[in-house]
Amino acid sequence: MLDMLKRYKKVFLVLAIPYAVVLFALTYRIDYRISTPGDLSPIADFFELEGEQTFPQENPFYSVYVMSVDRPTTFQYLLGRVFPSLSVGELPPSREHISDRANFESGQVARRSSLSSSLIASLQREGYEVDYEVRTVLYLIYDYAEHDGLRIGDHVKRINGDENVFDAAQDAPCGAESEFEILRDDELRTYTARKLERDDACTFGFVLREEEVITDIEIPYTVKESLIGGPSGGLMQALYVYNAITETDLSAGYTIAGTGTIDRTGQVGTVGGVREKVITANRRGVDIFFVPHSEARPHNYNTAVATKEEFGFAMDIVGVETLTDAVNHLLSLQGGKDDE
Amino acid sequence: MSAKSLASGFLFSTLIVLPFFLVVINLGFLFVHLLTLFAVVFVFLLALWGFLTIVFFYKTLSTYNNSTKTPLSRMMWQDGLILAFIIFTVGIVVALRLLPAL
Repeated sequence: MLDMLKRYKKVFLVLAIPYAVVLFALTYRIDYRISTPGDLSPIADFFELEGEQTFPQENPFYSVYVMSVDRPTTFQYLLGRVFPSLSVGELPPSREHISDRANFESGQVARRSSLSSSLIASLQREGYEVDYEVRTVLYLIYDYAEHDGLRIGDHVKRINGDENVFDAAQDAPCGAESEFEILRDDELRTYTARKLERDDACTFGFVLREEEVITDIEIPYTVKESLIGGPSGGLMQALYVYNAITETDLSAGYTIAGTGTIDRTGQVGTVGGVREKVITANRRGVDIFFVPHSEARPHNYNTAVATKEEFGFAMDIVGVETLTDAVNHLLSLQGGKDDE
Repeated sequence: MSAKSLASGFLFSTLIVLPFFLVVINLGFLFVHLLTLFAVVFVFLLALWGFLTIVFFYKTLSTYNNSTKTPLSRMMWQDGLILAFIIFTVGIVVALRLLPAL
């Protein structure tokens, strides 16, 4: 082998240069984000409703997940520029200083929260009793945050003894330690965190948000483990719940997918990655795709329609502002796919 | 000599298959709908890695011991293919079990 190396020394030296270039392109990561189409997820994979008040569903409703490759390699970046189904953009500043683990955990919190909102919105729409309380949770912890053990998903009860945690976080002194009283696994704990000067502001490096936690519900349900996170399945979860508690099968033979957050009043909110979600839905043979659309925020719907036209997709893009809009649209199709 | 030969075999085979592994991993993150295909290619590359390691191992060994060149050459292909087959079979079984979880 060494003889071979010596004999072909020049050849190896010449090959070493393109070899190094190829390895560099395949490993060196740059500060961009590539969004790629993903797949459909049946809502029944996230949670299941039980009890006698529920009806069997003919077709599952689907949410759509897409993939984001943050800091792609140079090779991936070049592919992103070539393939029309991939979108290349700047790495959003909001993603900086967030570890992959923190990103995953906050996605799980968002999904859990959206499940509660979907259940409340759908069940209350049909007159069912749902008791819930609104809690403030730690939604995100940035890498630079200084604390002694707080975790994403912790229920924040008090900051420096104040129950109004948003104001307390705002008023906490810069540079000094603050006391966080949190509820984790039904146990009250106290941790400290320090507010720090950063980018002309003083911050803990946390994101707090409110979420509904269901305390009593007429229809029992089971939440399933899933690696897919985020709140964008909210609308489709609400439709799934609504379909399960009403006798009419809303799907009517169609394959129905969509995207959009939902709040407890049934308002649909905007999401990211719509272009890739539309491409994914078309690949998987979806007939109807719901997307958030309101006068104030038309961009999701506009993106979806533009993507449909760009690729010449046949599926219906339906813009909705509320859960009721989506239900009404499906009720209007009750003749079913076979009757068309 | 065997340890040195094995190290050479491992080094040369790694140098050859490494870019291909990286290409598959790079593509796998971008084209998730083709994940099964990439998983099969990945397992194939693992098998190729094993095969080339054996081939280069025997090649190096034969340069240290010219008298056994012929039998080593026969063993080289035989052992290389057996190892590649084992890696490919085990790899495919593991991949098929893991893929649904992804």
